[in-house]
Amino acid sequence: MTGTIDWDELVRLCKKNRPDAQQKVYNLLSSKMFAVCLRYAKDRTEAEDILQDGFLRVFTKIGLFDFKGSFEGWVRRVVVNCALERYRKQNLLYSVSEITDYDTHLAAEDVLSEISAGELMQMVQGLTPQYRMVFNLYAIEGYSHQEIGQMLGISESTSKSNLSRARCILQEKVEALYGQRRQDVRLLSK
Amino acid sequence: MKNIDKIFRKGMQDSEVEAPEFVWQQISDSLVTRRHNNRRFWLVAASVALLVGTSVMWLSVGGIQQQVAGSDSDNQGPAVEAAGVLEAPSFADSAVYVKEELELKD
Repeated sequence: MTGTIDWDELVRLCKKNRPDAQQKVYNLLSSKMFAVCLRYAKDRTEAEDILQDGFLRVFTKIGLFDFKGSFEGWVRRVVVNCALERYRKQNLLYSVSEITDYDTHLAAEDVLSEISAGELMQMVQGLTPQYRMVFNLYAIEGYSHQEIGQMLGISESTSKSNLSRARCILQEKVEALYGQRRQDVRLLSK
Repeated sequence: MKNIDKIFRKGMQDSEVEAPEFVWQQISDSLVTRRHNNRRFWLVAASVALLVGTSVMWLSVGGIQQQVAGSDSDNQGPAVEAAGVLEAPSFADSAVYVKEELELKD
C-alpha cells in the first residue's frame, strides 16, 4: 500500500503546513504507530495520548527531517521518544532484583500460530513501566543496553536485569496461554 | 536473540491497530490553533515592526527638519550681527550729525 506513495512529496507538503498532506500522512501511519504506542503504554488511553503527542511533534518538527532514511522510521523514533518522555516525567522507578536468565523452549512459529498480536501486546502492557520500556527498546526496537541506560537514566546492569525479569514474566504468561490453547485443541479433537 | 524476544518481535513488530477517530480530530484542532497563533504572532510582530519603523522615520524626519532649522538660524546669526554692525555706525553717524548741527548753530 505504501509502495506507490511519494513520501518525499508528502513530506514537502507537510513542511509547508498543508492540512491535506498532514491528514494523509496520519491516515497512512497512524495504525502502525498506534500499535507501537500500545506496546509502550499501560493501557489504551495512555496509548492514545502518546499517539496524539507523537503526531503533533511529527508535524511541528517535520522541518528537522532531512530525507535521509525512511520517513516512517523517523516518525516511529519520534513516537517512541514521546513514550520515553512520558515515562521519564512519571519518573517511575522500580527496585530491581537480580534474576537468572532462562529461555523458553517454545518455537516462535508454534506460539504465534496460537497466540495473537493483541494478546502479546496485552502481556507487554501488563509489565511494570520500567520492564516494559526496557523490553520494548531491547527486544523490539533493537537498542543496546548502553543506549537504553542513557535513554532511561539507569545503569547498563539495571537495564540487563530489567530485561531478564521482563523476559521471565512474559515467558510464564506465554507458556501458560500456549499450554491452555494446546489443551483446548486436544479436548476439541477428542 | 532469545526465543521469547523472537516471539514478541515477530508477533508485534509489524502489527497495526486502528486508532480512534477522535485522536486525529484533536491533532487537527491543535494544528489549526498553532497555525492561528503563528499567524497572530506574525501579525503582531509586523504591526510592531511597522510602528517602530514609522516612529523611527518620523523622529528622524523631525530631527532632520530641526537640523535644517538649526542650520538656518546658524546662518542667520552672522547676518544679523552683520546688520547690527552696519546699523551701529549709522547711529554714531547721526550722533555726529547732531553734534555738528549744534556746533553750526553756535
